[in-house]
Amino acid sequence: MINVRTRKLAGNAHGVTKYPKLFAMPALLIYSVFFVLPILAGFYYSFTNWSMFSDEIKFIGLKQFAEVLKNPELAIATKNTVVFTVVSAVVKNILAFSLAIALTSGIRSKNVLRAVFYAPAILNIVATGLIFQAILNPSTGFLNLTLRKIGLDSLALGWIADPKLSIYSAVIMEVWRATGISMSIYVAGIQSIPRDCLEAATIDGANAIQKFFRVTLPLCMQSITINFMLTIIYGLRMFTIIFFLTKGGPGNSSEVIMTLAYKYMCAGFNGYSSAFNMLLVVAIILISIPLLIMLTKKEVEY
Amino acid sequence: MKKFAIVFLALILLVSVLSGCAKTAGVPESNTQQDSAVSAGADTNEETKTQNKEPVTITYLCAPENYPDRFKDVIAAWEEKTGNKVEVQLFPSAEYQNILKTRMMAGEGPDLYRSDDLQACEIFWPKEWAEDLSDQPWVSRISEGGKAYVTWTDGTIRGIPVLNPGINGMMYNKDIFEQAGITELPETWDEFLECCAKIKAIGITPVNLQGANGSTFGLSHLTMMMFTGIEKIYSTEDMAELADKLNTNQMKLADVPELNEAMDQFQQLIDLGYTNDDPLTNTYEMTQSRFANGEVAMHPCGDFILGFITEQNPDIRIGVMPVPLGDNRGACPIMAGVGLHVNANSKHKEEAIDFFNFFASQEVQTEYMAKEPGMNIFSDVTCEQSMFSADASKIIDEGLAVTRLNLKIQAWQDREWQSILQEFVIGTKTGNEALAEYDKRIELAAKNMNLPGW
Repeated sequence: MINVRTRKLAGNAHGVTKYPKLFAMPALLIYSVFFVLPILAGFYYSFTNWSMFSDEIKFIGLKQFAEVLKNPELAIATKNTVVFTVVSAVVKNILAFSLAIALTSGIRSKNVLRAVFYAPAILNIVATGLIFQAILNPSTGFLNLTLRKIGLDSLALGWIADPKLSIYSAVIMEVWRATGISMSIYVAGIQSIPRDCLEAATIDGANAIQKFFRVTLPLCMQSITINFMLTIIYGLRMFTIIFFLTKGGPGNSSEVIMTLAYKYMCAGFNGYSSAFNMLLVVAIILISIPLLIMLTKKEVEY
Repeated sequence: MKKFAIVFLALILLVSVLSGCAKTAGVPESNTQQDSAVSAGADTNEETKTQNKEPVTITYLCAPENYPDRFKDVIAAWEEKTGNKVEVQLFPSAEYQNILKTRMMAGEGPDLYRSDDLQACEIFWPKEWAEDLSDQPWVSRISEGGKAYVTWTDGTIRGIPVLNPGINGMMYNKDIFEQAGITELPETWDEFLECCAKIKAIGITPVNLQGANGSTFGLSHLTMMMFTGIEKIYSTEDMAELADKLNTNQMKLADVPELNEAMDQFQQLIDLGYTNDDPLTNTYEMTQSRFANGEVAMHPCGDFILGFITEQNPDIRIGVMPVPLGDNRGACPIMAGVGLHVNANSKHKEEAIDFFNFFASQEVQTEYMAKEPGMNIFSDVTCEQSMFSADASKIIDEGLAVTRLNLKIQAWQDREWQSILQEFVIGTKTGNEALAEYDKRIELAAKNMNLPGW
């Protein structure tokens, strides 16, 4: 028998009560004020000529975006953003998945190793940038000095001082820093695979490789979707790694969209900078939604 | 039992929320007592006013690198004299401009603030920020030479130096010059190259190029010195015409022959092997060590580097000279120095100007300069000279010093120029291509600054 009080708490026929909504209100309010409103304000200002030097804020519409598209550095920033995103996402996910498989097998020290691989993600990013500047310095850096000592001079490349390699140096730093995060999601995904699926495959005569491609990988698609979405969106929005490692240099060889937006914001061209941000938001939406749909279609359940 | 547990937990939550709120109410009071706190933008002036009815607290926004001990003494002396307080808010110089800009635009600017260059900030920041102090009593005490550094293009004086004004030039090690057999300073570019050859012959790198990410100002200082040489080639009227054309988009930098000549000179230094072979990894700190240890003979910079070098090598003998441009001796840009300004929209303008006048007084300035010798703008303040300022006086007397740098270009974006110069030194761009690329960046900035003609 359901008493009246329980019925009231249970809510209406759709099963939604008013209490969850009320409890969510404070958090929703804070989120709206500190996240949603600034995004909407940024959207508005991207259509204006707002700068430190303008007497009044005038609405100039799409002219601001036309100016952004004429920016002499937009091409290289877009190329670097795409290179950074794709390379870091692919390398991080392959490495993370491999580590996750290794650390969900029967290794004794797997808990310690999981912590070790995750640890770089919790380090302060400014400190990490400075450390990698020291490691990747072509003349005095730890990496090149070691390579020269063991006779591998040909591998002692220009790294952060070589315009062709600067963006890849940032990829190296990002892979080192964030593989652990992807790995932990993959570990959770692998651990959630029902044992009976794997046992059934073994009984049916599948070898390790077949089990991996026919059982493990399909059942991990959800983790793969989450990880790819996170790494790609994170890569497209990247700012901190580039800023604290190379500052977009040498020259503008490692500039990305966000470092350009920051540069113009620092120069006082706020409307222009907002327009860069808005273009990036639109690009992220246009890339991530189709990707999400495509990846979600591949998810299976046995 | 379960109900009791729920009620008990709810009570604990309520008590902790209430005690948390009570603590928060007490925090702003303790903040106002701190002298140099990183402020979150809270208006502590209002709270202090209610606590101390007569004494006023004025705020001073500064960067730690430009807040020397001798200025702390000035603040302490003023506080003792007037009973008012100065709340110093320090932000790292990389973020300083953003913080100042945000506060000024929100109408919550500090009463006093500092600029990187008290004359150049007329271009970099909105003019309306700084209060016009031209009618203050100390203005009449500024020397003619001093007036050249501190006056803005509209004739107003809106700040005085907190760090000594300085000269920028090619800093050279006198001992290495003697060792290399250089008896006279070069007056043409060919003579300069001969000096470099002599220095290279004794196994020392002639000219230091500092171009690592984050230290790229070392490259733009060298070009600034060579570009400044134009001011001695053109007459005053021609220079004004050139500046006007460049500022109104009637002429591009890449079309100015002397600028191309300067970039060719830069290229020659690199091609002839007269520079270090690691410019893109050579940081400001490495430059200080290399110069102090005698590994490099010359470095283009201002006297802001002096203290760091003499700390490592107190016996070093340093001179400064202009960089020749073609057959001309060239010129040395004068930096007005890190400046102190009064916010035109200050809520405590009277007290801020009073502090300013105190700082500008003869007694305070004399004591201030005694703690760090160098150039001073006041005619009634005598002080010792540093190694740089001694040569600077000679350069100024010979008419080779120039104020208002970078060809008076309003939309000058030095960070952009530094980034392009990195590409130039590794050979990705020629001198003319670098200037052409920079023209595009200046155009972008000029449009955003709503300058006429763009």
